[in-house]
Amino acid sequence: MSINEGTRLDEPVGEHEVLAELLAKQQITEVLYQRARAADRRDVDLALRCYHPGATEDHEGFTGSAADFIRNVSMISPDSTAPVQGLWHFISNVLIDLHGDQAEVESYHIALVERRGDDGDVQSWIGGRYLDTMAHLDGRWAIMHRTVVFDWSRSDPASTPYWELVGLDESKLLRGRFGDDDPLYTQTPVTRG
Amino acid sequence: MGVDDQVTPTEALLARRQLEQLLIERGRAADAKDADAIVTLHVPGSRDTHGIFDGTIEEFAEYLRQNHYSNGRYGTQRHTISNAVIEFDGPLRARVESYHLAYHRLVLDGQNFDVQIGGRYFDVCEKQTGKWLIAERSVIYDWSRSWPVDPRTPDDERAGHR
Repeated sequence: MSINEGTRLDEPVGEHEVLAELLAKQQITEVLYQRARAADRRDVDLALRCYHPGATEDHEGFTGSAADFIRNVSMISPDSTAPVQGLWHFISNVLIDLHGDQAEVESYHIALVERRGDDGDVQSWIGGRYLDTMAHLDGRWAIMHRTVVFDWSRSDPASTPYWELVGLDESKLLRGRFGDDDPLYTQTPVTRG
Repeated sequence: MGVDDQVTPTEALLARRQLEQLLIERGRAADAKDADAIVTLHVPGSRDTHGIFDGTIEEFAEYLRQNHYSNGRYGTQRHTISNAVIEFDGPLRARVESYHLAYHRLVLDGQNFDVQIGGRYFDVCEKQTGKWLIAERSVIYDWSRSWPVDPRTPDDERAGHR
């Protein structure tokens, strides 16, 4: 299926149609970014809002309700005891196959999981993809089903960070936080949840 | 949250595209170590804070000229930008969170390092005389890692000193 189906350049297309397609693709892409923010700021409510009610997820051995995964299984679950200090999801390569009110969306991510190990801090890298079925329901685009594909991974012991190499006082830097104490909420008036 | 009532979906679509381009231009100006180009992308006199540095964009540009852009220990740098989440406060003002994956080459006491920093920018952007500019920037450091560069690395000079 061509990703440009419906927008062939040699066929006249109404301006309204073009705008509707661009707008849908923009809103779908924003869902991906909001879902990344929700994980990285440990914001369960925001994560839930990225899905429609009844949505499902296939994620690292879990298959079932996306809401159940987020609330009870994932690393942002309030019940999680995983020694995670930080998450970071960098999204790219968004390809959207749009069919009216439904879309098949592939996106790439480079994710970091920072965790405390017995022998010191560990940075685990995961390169993967999200295969999302999204739908426009009740006036918004959101995920109906997400499959997370793990393409590669590597773990390294924490190494000397930039600020230490160049002699900056880390305590004076604006550091990201895995929760509601992140500068996102203190530096700028961004609403959580 | 989301698009303000005063902003039509079409206006917002165009503005988001322009704001993403602004972030990419800002990254390119840094990667070119062009302090003058950096200043042209910000509102004159506006705030730029990294926590450790907190001042006007003109002061930050001067800090870069005096330090990073004239000190041989700072080599190539490249900023890859993504995840721009944009909220409008009206047709002329937006709050933007974006992610960056930064590469830095450092040359320290004869030892070279490849360094990565993962972080975010929180920008308040304003449209002035038809152009989006950064009206306040906060730079957040999420993580960093480094590797000493093996001097036998092929083509290492190419990555080294720019």
